[in-house]
Amino acid sequence: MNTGNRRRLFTGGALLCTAVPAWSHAPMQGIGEFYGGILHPLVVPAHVLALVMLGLLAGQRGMAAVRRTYLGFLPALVAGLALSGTRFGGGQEPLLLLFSALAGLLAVVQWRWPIGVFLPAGAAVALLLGLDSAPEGLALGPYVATLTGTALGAFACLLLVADLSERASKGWQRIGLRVLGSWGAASATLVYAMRWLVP
Amino acid sequence: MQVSKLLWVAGLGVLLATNAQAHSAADIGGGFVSGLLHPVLGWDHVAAMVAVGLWGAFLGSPALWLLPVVFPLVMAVGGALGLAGVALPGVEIGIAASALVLGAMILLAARPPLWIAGVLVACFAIFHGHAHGTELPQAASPLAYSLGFVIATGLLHLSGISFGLLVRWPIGRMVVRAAGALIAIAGVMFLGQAI
Repeated sequence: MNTGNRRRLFTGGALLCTAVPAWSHAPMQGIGEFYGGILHPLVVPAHVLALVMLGLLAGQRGMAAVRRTYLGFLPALVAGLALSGTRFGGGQEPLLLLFSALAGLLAVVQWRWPIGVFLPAGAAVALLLGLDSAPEGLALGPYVATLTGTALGAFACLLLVADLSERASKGWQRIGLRVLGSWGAASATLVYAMRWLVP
Repeated sequence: MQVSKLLWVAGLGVLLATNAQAHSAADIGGGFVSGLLHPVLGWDHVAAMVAVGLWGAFLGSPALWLLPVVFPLVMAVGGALGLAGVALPGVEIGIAASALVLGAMILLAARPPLWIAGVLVACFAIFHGHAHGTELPQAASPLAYSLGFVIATGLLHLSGISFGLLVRWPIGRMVVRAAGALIAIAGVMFLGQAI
């Protein structure tokens, strides 16, 4: 084998060795953009925590609060996702953590908040979550598929938690909601503190 | 010749660099599992957490849920102190003492006013939180880690509460007090190691 062929063989071998599996901005490999988008709010801890705390808070207050939360949540989520690719997108995680910490504390004390609060609260969480969910390096088609999946995943998570919380009527179930609230508040407080206190 | 070799090395370096992941599933999963295991793998933490649940069940409602709710919230404050680098003297002694004192409370069937029980548990939670908090910045995903250890703490409380519900029966009451004695003895051992 002459030097040229040896060099080509070496180059080919090196390229084969360095090949990495294709990633499509999905939390799991090979599931595609849409399903990856569905899973995205569920595997980003700050997102899932904010959704669970919002659902918990609204569900505790009853169906009227849940409906108002949905009403604020859906359009704001669409707006947030649409703006996620702009300069406003990214970096909303600290605000989501702050919300989770406060909402968790409110769920612990089971304060009966005015129903009107839930529409802007749902809208604020959805807007922050949408802005923080920008997929990177995707063509238009997969980009839209990812965002559609993210919208569905986030709303499904909120729907499930709010509905289960709203149905929790027995004493031990209400205690369970308080305990969940305390877990969420504690986790969010710790990480929020870390962002401020650890250089 | 030397330049071409350097180019080869640089080229391979570029090819070997993997793409950055905004939210690596492995980091999140690893952080969650290590957080989940952290309180479970330390016997001093386990004894104190189970004791909180046992004592809550012994005291009945509202202590049954109030103590396990107060604990993680105050633990977060302790964790924040640890993150801020606030040196808390005798953290390990405080953790060992929590097992000893809470175990003794169960053994003696102590029924202090609710606020005293709450303050006692909150004081110990500061020490446990401080110990967890100092390890938080090293975690691959700090939020997943903190979720893991808060959930593990809650589940240990729950196991204590479940066991503590035996107090409904006279024999169960004796079994729960015996468990308190065991926790207190373990606390003495932890204290001996910590001092």
